[in-house]
Amino acid sequence: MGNNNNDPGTEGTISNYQVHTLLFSALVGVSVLMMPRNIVIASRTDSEWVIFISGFIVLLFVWLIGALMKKFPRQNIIQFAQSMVGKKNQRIMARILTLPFALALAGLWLWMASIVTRSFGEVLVSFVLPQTPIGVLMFSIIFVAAIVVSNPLVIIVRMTEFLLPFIYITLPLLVAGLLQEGSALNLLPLFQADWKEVANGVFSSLLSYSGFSILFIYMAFYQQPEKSMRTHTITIMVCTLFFWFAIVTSIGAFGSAEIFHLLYPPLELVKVTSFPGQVLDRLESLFIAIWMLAVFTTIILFFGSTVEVVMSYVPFKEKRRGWVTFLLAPIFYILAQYPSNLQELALWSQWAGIAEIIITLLFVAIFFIVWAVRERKKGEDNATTSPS
Amino acid sequence: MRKRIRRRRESRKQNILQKNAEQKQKAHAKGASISSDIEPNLVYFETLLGKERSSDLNVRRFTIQYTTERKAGLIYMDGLSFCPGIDEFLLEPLMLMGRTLDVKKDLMESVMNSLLQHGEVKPTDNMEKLVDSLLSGDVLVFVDGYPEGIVVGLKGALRRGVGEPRAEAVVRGSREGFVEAMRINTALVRWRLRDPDLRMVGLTVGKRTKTPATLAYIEGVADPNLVLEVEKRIQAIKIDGILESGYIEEMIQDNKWSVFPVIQNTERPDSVVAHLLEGKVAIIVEGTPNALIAPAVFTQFYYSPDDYYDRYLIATFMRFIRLISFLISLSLPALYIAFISFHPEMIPPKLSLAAAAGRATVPFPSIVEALLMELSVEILREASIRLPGPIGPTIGIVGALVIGDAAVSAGLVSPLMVIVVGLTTISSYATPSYSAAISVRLLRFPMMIVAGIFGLYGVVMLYLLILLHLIKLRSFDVPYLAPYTPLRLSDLKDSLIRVPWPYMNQRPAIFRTSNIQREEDVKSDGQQQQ
Repeated sequence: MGNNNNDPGTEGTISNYQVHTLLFSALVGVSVLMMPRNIVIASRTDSEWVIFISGFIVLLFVWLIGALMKKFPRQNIIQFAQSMVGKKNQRIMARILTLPFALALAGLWLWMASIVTRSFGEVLVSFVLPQTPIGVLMFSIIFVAAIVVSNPLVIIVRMTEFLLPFIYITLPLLVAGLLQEGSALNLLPLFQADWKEVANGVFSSLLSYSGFSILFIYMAFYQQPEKSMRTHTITIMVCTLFFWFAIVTSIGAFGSAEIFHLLYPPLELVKVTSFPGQVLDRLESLFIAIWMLAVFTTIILFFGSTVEVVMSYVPFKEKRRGWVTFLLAPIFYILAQYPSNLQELALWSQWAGIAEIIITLLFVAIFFIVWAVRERKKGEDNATTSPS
Repeated sequence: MRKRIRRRRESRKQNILQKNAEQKQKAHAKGASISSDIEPNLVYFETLLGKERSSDLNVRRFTIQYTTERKAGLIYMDGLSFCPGIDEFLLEPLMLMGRTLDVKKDLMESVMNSLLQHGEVKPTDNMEKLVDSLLSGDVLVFVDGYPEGIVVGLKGALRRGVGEPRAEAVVRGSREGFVEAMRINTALVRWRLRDPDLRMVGLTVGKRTKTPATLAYIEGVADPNLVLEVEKRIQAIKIDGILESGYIEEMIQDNKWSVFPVIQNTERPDSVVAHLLEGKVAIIVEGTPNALIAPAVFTQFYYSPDDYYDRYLIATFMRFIRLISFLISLSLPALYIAFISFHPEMIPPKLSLAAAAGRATVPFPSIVEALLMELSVEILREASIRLPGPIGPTIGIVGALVIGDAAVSAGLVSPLMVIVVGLTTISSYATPSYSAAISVRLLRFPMMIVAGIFGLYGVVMLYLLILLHLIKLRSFDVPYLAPYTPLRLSDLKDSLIRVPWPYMNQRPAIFRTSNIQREEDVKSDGQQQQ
């Protein structure tokens, strides 16, 4: 009777719209605050079109991951890696062989989560709560994140689903800033950068897109993996537009020369904006409050995929998820505390972005090769057995 | 000395208990099956209910003038049955018209056919059933020589008449509210929903109270799995007594520890019908004007029946107002604390200065000030509910205005705080559902505490945790935050925005209704519903 086949409430799956919210929330986070500066340093006003190149490259990565994951429906990367390596009696062998993959992914995502947490902690300390020690702030973020992550991944995705509309609210704030402070002259000149500058810009903005690799985990829960390509493409386009918007509003308001001296250009833009009638005098607290949601969803998505890797590598029972989470949380905290200053943190985040790209490409290549070899073997087996 | 007294008291208690048990056992041994002799049957009831100690038990022995004088007995509970009716329709014919009966026919048959002049007459030889009917107000008739009792449905306890619902007032719409008698309530529902598919399953809950309850749903609209699940959960209830539907609500809800209500209660029959038409089930319980509606989602506690009776624009506007008042009642005091103690730069400088000037004489930090004021408002509210009718509002005004004003002029609280508290209190009354308003009232306190520790940041964190809880919460397998997450575009027609009725041509899908079409509702027998 019912139309329950396509019911978004179906337990344990991620609907198409949720795919959009999950990917968007993973990519758009604290990086939006810093990215305009990084890309403008590299390619100045030309960032306005350079960002589309890196968006396209990220789209290629996401397509690759999608193509790989589609071959193994309902399985995440660790699960199909283990099933690829061993038959049922070779479980220990499978564990040993897949250990590097599990370690690399879990480590990468925990590292990325800690970088995001630390970066946002720094933002909070410098703008909202100057007298609170950053350790306390990060502790509370991680504590709340751990409570969320103790739940199945689908719950995490539904958090992002609910919170996504709030993130879009920040767009009008940026527009208001642009209208008040911006000038079209700041946006010009275009097409002045040489190839090297463009490449640098692409590279530095590519790192801001970090987070797409969590699809290795989340695609296992898709309701309609076959339709995911379209959703992924749209989401990356929307993200790119969002980034582009942040860049254009920042450049429009400050000009490329001034952005060099601003740590968080979009935040500074909101800071100089005020609503007519002085309702809220300084908007940046509101902006940060909303942005906290965006950052928080990023953190729980990364942390959640870390926990999921551990959970599927050592098949713990579902009720042990809370334990795993709270055992990982101290490591998370230590990693977040580790960088001694902003400079080091920026370096870390660069390295993490590079590591993500390398790991993604490497894993996709390895698994495609193994998959192709196995398919061929299977084909040969079939060929030899079928005539007899 | 004291020990001896205690021992004596204890032994007396044991003696009495033992005696009662023995008596009952004797009665049971004799009367487990109905004797064809009449006297043991009557004595059985007298011992079972404790004749000397139950003054409302009425056993009447009389004779029927048949061929010979035949002994007969009539038992009822005084007050539960309709007494003038017993005299007129039962005793008068039984005592006077015996001679008119046809002698060739069986006496029992004749009594049933012509002497008991009432619509609901059932013979039974099941003693337990007889006891249950007696205690629910039916009249029992025994005739000597026949090993069975006749149950006459002459229930007639005095009841309050149908009145206006007290807790759920509307501007436009029915003025009828449920009453304590379940039968009247089911009639109020059936009168509004003349659908042969409306089902009213009778259930009994509570070992001792044996409270009747009705599970109402529309066959072909409600999800059969939901109906089965609700029925199963109600039947699994093991408790001695059900005095209010709240008992059942807590016994069958999914997450027993949640702050938020996951089953709605309502006093309005029109509201019950509206929910039944959306594919939900209702539970109507004897003895309470509050019917339960399951499953319930978060947003439905913020919808009032007039949203559907008034024009769509008014309804939509009211829903926005309620959303704002929800946010205010949950977080305004917390935001006050956060702005005053952590982010004075966020509010306009003039306001900031005014707030600081108002707080100049206040000896407490803002968190203490806010907690103090909120607590006293809660006390005032509780007091004005308990106080007898006419005094209640007076005390409210005295408390709020006089004490508030005095506290401000004494410099104990800032004027801004009084405004905040007043606004918060009024906002929490804007919620149509009392149970939802209470949970928000409770959550305001942790909100204020985290705002005192972490400022705006803490408020956002607590909002996130509440959100997590709401997302995990389910009501009979319906996600509590549906249709927002999981998102269901078709159900957003009746969410924050209510579109005009002609466009709401489908039932909400989140409740897994068996028949999604509302407008062209073709029933299973192919007949077009008007």
